[in-house]
Amino acid sequence: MARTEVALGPLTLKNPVMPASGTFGYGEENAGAFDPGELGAVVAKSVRLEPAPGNPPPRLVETPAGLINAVGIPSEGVDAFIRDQMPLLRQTGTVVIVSIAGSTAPQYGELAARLSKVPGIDALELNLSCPNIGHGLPFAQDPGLLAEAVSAARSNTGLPIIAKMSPNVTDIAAMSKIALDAGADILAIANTVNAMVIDIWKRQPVLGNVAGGLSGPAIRPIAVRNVWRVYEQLEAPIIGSGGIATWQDAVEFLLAGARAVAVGVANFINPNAMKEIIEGIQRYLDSQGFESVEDIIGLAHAARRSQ
Amino acid sequence: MYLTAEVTLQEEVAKGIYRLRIFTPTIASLASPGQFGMIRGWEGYDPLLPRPLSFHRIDFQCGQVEFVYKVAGRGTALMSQWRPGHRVALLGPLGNGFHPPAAPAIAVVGRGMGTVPLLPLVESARREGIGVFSFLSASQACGLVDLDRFVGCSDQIFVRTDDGSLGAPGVVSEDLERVAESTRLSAIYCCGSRRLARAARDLAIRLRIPAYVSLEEHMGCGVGACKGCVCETAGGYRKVCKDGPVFELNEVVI
Repeated sequence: MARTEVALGPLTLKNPVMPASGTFGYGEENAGAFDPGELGAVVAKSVRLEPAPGNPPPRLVETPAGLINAVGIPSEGVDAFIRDQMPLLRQTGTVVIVSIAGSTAPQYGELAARLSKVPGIDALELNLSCPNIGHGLPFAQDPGLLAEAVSAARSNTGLPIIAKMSPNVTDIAAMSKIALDAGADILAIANTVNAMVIDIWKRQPVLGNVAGGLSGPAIRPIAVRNVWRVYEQLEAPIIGSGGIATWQDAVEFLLAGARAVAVGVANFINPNAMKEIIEGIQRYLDSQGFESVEDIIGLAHAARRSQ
Repeated sequence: MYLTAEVTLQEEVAKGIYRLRIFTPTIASLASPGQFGMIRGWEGYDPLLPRPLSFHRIDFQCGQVEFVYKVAGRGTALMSQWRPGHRVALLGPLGNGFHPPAAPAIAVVGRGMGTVPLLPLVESARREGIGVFSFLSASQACGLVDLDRFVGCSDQIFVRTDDGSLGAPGVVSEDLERVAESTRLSAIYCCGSRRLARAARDLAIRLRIPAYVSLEEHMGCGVGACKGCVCETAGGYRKVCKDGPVFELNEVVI
């Protein structure tokens, strides 16, 4: 049996599969199809400093092979999160990643400082790319704000920092470089793609927040290309995400250069998706004669170079 | 429970309205009135998401559940093509169902497809010897599915249709008011009309009895993880899939 254990910067995951933040609950908000402890990591829904209600409904609209969401990061606030959610996360028995979302750059520092004192957290993911909050651009689309937000977190925590980047930029590698220079250890490539739908009979946008972020199989080739590009340009470990629904999709991201994959909307289509992906990766490695999942990371680049 | 199950019956009960029966002893044994299932039975990613459907009938003894749905988009259009033997993925039962009916009697108020989740409630009340008063309306008579079952379970039933194809002219909210003022009700249950729900809420407050409403919303995960299907309540947004779909009527903003 090939080894599925994978190094992700300072972290070691027992397999490269984790949920995308906000798509999979680890306690009651879970379909109960399998034990979350079987995952390479669990990732909590982004937490904010203060309680926030999120966006007005409708928050979801389905598109061909995709889903646009404008949920807007509702949060119980960091205090309630630590009190109510951390005990559940700790019990999962796997790597725990807590996603944080600041409204301002300094809030990333405050959140990082608070959470660094809490036992049971293995890494912080900075959600720098939610298209659904605030009035300006997301942090990951503004070089200055991006550096400021990541630096604020870095100077307040010793935990590994994952920077979740936006695909809605001209060059995701250039923005990722800024995040790394500001102290990020790992890159999550990438968040949802800006999108909207208009109801032609009501003659108005469908979503309560007008526009949102597109996820699902519709964006998978965009995400693969972004992972490929960042792997080519930068040395940093990458978590790939964007429309991964099957083990074949996950393998494609690993071959493009991701060291781990995050599964989002597929959890809604098939609550068993992540377990099936873990099993499928194992079968692929075994049947193709690889000893370890590490052997296939970025392998599509090597094949291209040797031609 | 997430499992695959087999379609045992599909029939068009009125134009564009279908009855779908699924053999699933596990879910039939766990489900209670007002709960729902997420169902998906097509290949590929378009449509992407499973569809949430309320239970219309929960038959524990035969190990079957029944859904009634109206073709409204591509998902339900595909669903209507399923034939007996077709295999579907089913997640359920999900959500908080109706508060269990109590003696002496309950009132159910439904409009159109909103009558669908009320049927298992009146059937369970009937089985337990609790009185049932039904107040049903629709744009036309064919929009009331399994009216005969409602009749069979009700001590008294009021039916009104917009086109007059069934029942006398009038509105069921007035029927409800008349009955509620002369009969002791333990609770009122609503589904399918905001106007009727508002009328029931005002009446329930006046008579100091509890009232409940089942809400419908597009859903992502169905289990509370994605926070996509919220409704507005006195205490802020709440998730229709996990905190509902049944809510106390005076708690939601309608």
